[in-house]
Amino acid sequence: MPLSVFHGIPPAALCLFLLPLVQPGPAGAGASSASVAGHPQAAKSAQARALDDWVGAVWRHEPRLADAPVREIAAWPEADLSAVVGEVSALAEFLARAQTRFARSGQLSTFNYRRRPWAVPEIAKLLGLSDAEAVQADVSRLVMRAVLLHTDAAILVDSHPDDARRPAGSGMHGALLVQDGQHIGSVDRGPHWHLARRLLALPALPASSDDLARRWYIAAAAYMHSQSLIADVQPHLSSGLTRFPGDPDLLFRRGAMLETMAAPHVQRAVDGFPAMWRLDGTPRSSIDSGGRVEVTKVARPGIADARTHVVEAEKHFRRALKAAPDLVEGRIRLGRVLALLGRHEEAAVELERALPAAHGPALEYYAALLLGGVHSRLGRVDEAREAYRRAAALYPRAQSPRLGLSSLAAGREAASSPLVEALAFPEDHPSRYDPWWDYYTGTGIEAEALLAAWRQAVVEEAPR
Amino acid sequence: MRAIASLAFAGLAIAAPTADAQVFSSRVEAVRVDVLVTERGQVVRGLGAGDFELLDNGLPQHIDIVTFERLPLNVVLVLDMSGSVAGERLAHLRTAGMALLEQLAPDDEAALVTFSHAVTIAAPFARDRAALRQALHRAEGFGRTALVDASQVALALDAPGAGRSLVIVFSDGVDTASWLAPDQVLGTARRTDAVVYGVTMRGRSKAPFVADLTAATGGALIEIETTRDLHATFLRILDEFRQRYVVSYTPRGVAGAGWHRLDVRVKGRRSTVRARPGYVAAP
Repeated sequence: MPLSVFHGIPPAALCLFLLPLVQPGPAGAGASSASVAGHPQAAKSAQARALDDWVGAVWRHEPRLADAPVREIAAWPEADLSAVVGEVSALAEFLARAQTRFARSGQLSTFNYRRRPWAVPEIAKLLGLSDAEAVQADVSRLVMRAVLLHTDAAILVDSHPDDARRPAGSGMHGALLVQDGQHIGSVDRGPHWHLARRLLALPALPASSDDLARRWYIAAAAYMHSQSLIADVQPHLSSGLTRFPGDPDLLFRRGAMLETMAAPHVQRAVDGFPAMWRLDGTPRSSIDSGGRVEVTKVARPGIADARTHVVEAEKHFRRALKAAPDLVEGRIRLGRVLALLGRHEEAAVELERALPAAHGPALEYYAALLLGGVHSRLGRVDEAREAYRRAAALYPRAQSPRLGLSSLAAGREAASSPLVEALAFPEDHPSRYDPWWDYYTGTGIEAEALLAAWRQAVVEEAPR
Repeated sequence: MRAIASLAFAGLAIAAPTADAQVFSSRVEAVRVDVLVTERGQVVRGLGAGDFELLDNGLPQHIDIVTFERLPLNVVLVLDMSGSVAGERLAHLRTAGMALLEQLAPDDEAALVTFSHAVTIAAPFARDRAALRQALHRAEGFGRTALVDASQVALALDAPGAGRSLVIVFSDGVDTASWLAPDQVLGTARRTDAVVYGVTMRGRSKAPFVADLTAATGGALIEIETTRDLHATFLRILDEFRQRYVVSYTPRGVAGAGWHRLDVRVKGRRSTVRARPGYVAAP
């Protein structure tokens, strides 16, 4: 379950949105085994080398390091990576069929590959599998190591857009760069999260790999939240919940993602999106070379209005709490979305319940601050003051509870007194830190720990 | 309005030492309203008490005083220092702020509130311009925009003396980070006597908060094309504010506590009158 212990400086306020409806690249996603067999000689040799190189990178990569294997892979065009993953899928599928056929009839199978028949041991060797894995048709160790490689490519290389080794984007994973509610540019986010999900979706993966897969989904989502990567976390959590539909952690994180999509800094950026794309006022019927789509087709790239997201967030938080009633942060955020929906009485109930259970100063702060806001809306001035004072006691110079107290005051002196001492400190003074500033990235605060734990588990359960 | 607020504070001081006690004076006190009168875009001067008609909750009131003299000002500059205000924009903002300070009279008080996601009282009310200039120089653009929160701070600042309160708010974007909701700050605005002028950038995606705030306080919203216009705009605001009348009256025949709708007119003239639409009287 996510914990939210907060410290540190306010975020850079950068978040990314998914560009709408971009056409797939010419190589397509997911080369089939038929296409593998049908390539011309020259292209097939290049593709053979690609698989060998990729497998080599998978097994050579050191977790958490931006080493040569991960940099090499990060420099590949998406079409090539996608073709390799398709090839791995085909080979894994063959191994599974061969294992089943052998188990039923004792017959050996071969696979037409690279213009000749390949036996199981050869394919296993090509993929770096052990003899036992070949017999069992178990590709989970390879897959987990590959997911680790692509995860590190996404985090360690793709996150640094100045890296000259990044390939020119195919436009499949475009995203808008937004800062402080304003569009400041666009970027190709790279294919690695997508490729990792494809690998984890291989039918040949045994159920024993489910736990590692689930933990990866959670850790990666936490990372994406911590970096405000909305463009990445949307498809990520959709995929995770398709595979693990009742998982309370994933449900909670999706609720938090929806809550973020309803936030002012996201909504303001999207409000400005049609204006950003308007060129000469003439609607465009196709995608031009700049990857821009006519405004009338998609006005809001993957982001709906705030209320729609908040309504969905409530559903996800409730499902998460049904599965895990002790999920305190889920209850706090449920309280917030209920308040956003104007259901302040219900919000107060959830926040009152969460407050005594909140572990750590940041969660307690959120519960108290939000409760102060709800009581204020309900006209319960004394209760609101008490809640705000509780929040202020946890972070004495945080501005939000003091602003709340100020807004409740009837006279100017009373309105001023909660503010003057605290807000006279420079904004970069550590004591000025307000956890409210991190509310929308807060579910990612454990990202480093979750990723480290997952990487360690891969090293232990999928050794080289 | 300010008189009511002041006496309410006196009641608090006697009845309870804590700043947020809820004991208020029940005496009827004078209300002071800042009024701008224009005709065809030009400020109308030379009007007296007999030229004005004022209705409080629809009831005509006797106007005690109309002042056109230069009363001391309490000016709060509220400046957006979020990430988008950097480089040339920041330089323009500093220049405009400095120019405003230069135009203040010796007995005017000024304060500086800067905001990104963090709101800072960069300089409390003072007549010392040097401290304010230093604060303006120190301010740097970084982070998100807590415009609503910053406005609350500006309205809540306890101005010294009995001067007229002017708040000038500049933002080049929209609120992305505040804790308070706009309606809460508008409530604060209705309980103070400050007049808010807002300066925003034309063409940006807008929420109506600044427009609502200026309308609620009888101020004005000015949209500029570029931050180069800030210098002239700040000075124009100050000049216009100094040319407002201060109309004082003692409410009679109207309920004490709560919201009072105000209508201020000039008799016998086709003037445009800008004043706050009402005020909240303490019980």
